[in-house]
Amino acid sequence: MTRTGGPARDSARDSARASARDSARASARARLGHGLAGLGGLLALMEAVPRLGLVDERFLPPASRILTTLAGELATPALWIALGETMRGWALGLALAFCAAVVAGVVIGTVPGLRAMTSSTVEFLRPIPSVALVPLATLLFGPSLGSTMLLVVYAAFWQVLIQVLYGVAAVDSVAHDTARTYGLSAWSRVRHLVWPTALPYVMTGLRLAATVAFILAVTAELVIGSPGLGAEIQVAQSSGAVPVVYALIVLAGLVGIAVNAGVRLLERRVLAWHPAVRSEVAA
Amino acid sequence: MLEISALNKAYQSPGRRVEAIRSITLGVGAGELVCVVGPSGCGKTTLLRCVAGLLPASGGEVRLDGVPVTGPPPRMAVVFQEYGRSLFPWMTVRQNVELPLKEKRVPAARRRELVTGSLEAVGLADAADAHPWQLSGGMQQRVAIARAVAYEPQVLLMDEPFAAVDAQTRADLEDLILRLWRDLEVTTLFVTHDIDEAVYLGQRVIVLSSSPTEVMEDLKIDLPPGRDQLTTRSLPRFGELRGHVYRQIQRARGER
Ligand SMILES: Nc1ncnc2c1ncn2[C@@H]1O[C@H](COP(=O)(O)OP(=O)(O)OP(=O)(O)O)[C@@H](O)[C@H]1O
Ligand SMILES: [Mg+2]
Repeated sequence: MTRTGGPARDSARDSARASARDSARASARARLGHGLAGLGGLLALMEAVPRLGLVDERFLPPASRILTTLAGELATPALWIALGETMRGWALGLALAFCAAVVAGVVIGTVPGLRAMTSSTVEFLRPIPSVALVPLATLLFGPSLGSTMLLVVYAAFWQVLIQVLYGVAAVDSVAHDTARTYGLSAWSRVRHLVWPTALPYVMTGLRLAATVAFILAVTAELVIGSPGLGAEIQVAQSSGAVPVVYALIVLAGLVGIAVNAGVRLLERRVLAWHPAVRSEVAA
Repeated sequence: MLEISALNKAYQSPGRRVEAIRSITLGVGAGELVCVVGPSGCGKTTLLRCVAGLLPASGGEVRLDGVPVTGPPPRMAVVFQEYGRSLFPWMTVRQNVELPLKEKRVPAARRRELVTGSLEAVGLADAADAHPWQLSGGMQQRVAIARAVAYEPQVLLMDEPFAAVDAQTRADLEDLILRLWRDLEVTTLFVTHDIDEAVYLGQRVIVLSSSPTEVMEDLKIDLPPGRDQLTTRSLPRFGELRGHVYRQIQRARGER
């Protein structure tokens, strides 16, 4: 019988893998370089436009002022408390929406007939913009965490649910037949076949939901006045502290980027076996 | 043991009806090894899927130990023609082979023994910790075979299981199946498009006609039971049987 593997082959595979990794790293570095160059250009522009008097400094302070204001704000505990409030609403809402959507999606997708029964309801509820629930949230919870949560959960839930439904539908028919012939119970099939198949979709859903959830958390605070970054922006705006408004907007943007990067990192770790991630083999 | 009586299967889709199997009647005794050959598209896979309880028959029935098959019966293993898709890419080779055993609640020590033994038997002991997508097509096919072997089935259904391996590996795997079948007395239904292989492995060879599919011939292979790649294949009787099956398949194709 032919033996496969062996040290020579392993080392060849390892070095191929290492070189693929190196080239992936190099391209990531290049991307980072381009990104930084672009960011530098934007900062220079934002510095120049008010300084040259193209826009009134009262409406758009120079970038350097915004950044120093941000640094100053970051030294105050109040900002960190506000950020903590926002992130709490975001994380709780996202977690709740995620769990509910995954359970609902798996059940709807695997119980025969349930998908057809629920699809019209889903299609009706999904397009309702979360922001349209602001009056309802105000009525139910007032300016509190509850309002933030309601908007966040509603927005994030559909993002995840839709992806889970796609994911469950993507189960390979031969793999499914295999699971059936080898006597896998319904629970084992969900755990060993349906869930791993759906996982790439679930991670996409999570990534979309994380971003949307953050947007909605800030929105709820801005509009309803629940405590958090959004409320701080609102306060700064009404007291005419324009640089602070900009500093907080920048901070919100940075948090948004961090959220996205975090989920992407998680995605790569969870999906190491998946074609979109296992770049070494394709190389 | 396995009785297939007047089995009929038509695939029904809107505006199209394909009668994959007209009528197949066929019995496989306990511990028998029966090979099925027939032209491509004649419904061999369909037959196997009906026997495995994965596809409801349109007419007739399949019985296993006298019990009508309505869903996948326990203690039956299937090696699918689409072997690549039947492996779970998120599991290593070892985990793929082990999963059905865990489900059967085989104790851990015995499980390890079975997994290691079957992977060794198909020559993949070194690849146990690789993922299926890191393997070649032939290696994947052997993983699927190892999984079926480790399961210790009573009935084994195989759909062109050696299509993607080289001639030498193929000969080794043929002997593995023969050994397994003899040692464990597994009732085996083996689909192949290779006439030599069918005659070499089978106690009987079923020749299917082209569609509309019926059993064209149920041929008893009267070769000595201890088969050997060199001596068996060079017997004059082997050549006669092979020639006979070959002519039958030519006839089946010609009637299309
Ligand atoms: N899911 C399906 N829906 C409709 N028709 C199908 C389906 N599966 C198979 N068929 C048809 O049934 C017939 C038999 O197919 P089957 O796959 O059983 O052939 P086969 O003998 O296994 O062929 P091969 O040797 O190429 O594997 C073919 O005409 C095919 O088009
Ligand atoms: Mg087939």
